[in-house]
Amino acid sequence: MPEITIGPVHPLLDEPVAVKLEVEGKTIKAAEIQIGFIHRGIEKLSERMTFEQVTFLVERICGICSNVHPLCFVQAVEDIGGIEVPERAKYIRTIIAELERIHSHLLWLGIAGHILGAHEIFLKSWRYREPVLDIFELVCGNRQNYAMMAVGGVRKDIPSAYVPKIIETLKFLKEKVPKLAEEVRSSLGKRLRDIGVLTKENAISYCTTGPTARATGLPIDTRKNHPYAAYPELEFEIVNRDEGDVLAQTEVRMGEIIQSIHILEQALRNLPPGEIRAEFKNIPPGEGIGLAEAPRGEDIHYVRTNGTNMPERHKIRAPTYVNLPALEAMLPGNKLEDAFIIVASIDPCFSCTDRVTIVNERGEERVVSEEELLRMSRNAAL
Amino acid sequence: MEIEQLIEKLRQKLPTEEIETKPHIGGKERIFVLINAPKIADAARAIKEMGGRLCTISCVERFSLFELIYHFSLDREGVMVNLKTTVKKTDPEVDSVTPIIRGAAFIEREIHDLFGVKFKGHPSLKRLILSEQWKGNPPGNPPLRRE
Repeated sequence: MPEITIGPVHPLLDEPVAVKLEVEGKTIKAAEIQIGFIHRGIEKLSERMTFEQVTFLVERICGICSNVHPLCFVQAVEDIGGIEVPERAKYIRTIIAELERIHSHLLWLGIAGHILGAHEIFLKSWRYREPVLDIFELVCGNRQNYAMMAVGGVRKDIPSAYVPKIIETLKFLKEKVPKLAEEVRSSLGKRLRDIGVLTKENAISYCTTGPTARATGLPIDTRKNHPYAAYPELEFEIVNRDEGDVLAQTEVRMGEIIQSIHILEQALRNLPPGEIRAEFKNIPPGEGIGLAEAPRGEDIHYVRTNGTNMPERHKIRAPTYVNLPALEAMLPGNKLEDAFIIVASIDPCFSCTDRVTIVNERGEERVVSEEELLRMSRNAAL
Repeated sequence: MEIEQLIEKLRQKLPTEEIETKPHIGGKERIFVLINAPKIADAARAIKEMGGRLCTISCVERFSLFELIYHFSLDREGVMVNLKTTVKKTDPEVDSVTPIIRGAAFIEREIHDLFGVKFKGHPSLKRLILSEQWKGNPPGNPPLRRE
């Protein structure tokens, strides 16, 4: 059977992955995922850094959800040290995490629009993402890599003078995002329906998390299952769909933006006064687990300490690590031109195609450029 | 379900007596269960039947042993149950849980790459992170091993 390899390197995108597809005509019969092209040895590096330094290191694991890794890590260390985080710090953690979710989901929607040739959706969603990044710049000084998390609390406060500006942005998003969601449904609904279907059984057996799992009807969300930061005190719903296709994943993400705005409004209204960072002495020997819901799903850090100021072992599992193998179940049965959007649908920090090698039955190879693949994907949208 | 009830249930279902809890600030305690290495597949099956979702497996080097920690999340109960087992460094081999939980395929391949632990019964225990050409430095020494 002819075999097609997508990836592993794309100069524009951050996370390379190779997807080997077996095709019959234009129908995908089987898929195999290869990772490891961007292994940076962060777990090993972490063993030689102090707890203070590791928060900065793990922030650089992902350029899109750069808040969630330090959040997981500091929670694990706080468990070991028995450090109680001040209430205000918990709320600030929640605010940063939810702003991050909004910007990440809008970024994903823009990329999905780009892949499908729906440039208006691409332009609009990135236009709406911009004010969120402006808030980050205002609050943290950076548009990315916020450096807000610290063991015992947060590094910077959100002064009350900034709150009206954040509320204003939320108001803007609250008006625009439902309209954008409606537009996505009307213009891309047909294109995305019934492709890349993940069944509930497969979602469970591949241990998927995040929107990928929630689109199949699994009500799992770390914010509800293992509450952290200020989530136990805030009201929100788990957004679920039952279909499991790419459209369902899109709708889950759109719904989550609305929920995030709702959470942010509550958190800003109830932001308690007080300290933002607890004092602590040495971290004793022990082990701790930090969990947080990243935009892509559950993130988990396991930290083992030995009484020094550095971790003895630091295991990190990002959500894409469990969502990516599920593509092996999502891709077969679909058309080749849909492969692009299905791979993107799990939001794998979006990684893939520089060029594709098509091998025909006689074993001849042909290299297809990124433009050609994009054209295939876009023509199918018409 | 309260944590004591859950521990009692785990005692009945799992082939072990050693269950301990570690504090978790602002939430339910983390449960750690010690399991003998040959029983790990049975234990994983039991937790899966209780609705457990495998988050990941951590491998920690401890003197002459490797500790493998299987992190399960019981989403309904909101509790993390961690199965802990040890294998000797000289003969690091343990039953694979991939035939029971398909989602464990990647992480077992990763631990095989980085620590050299062999997972018996894994459907395809090939390289995941390292390239096929990687020989080790010194040769035969997996990269995350300290000695």
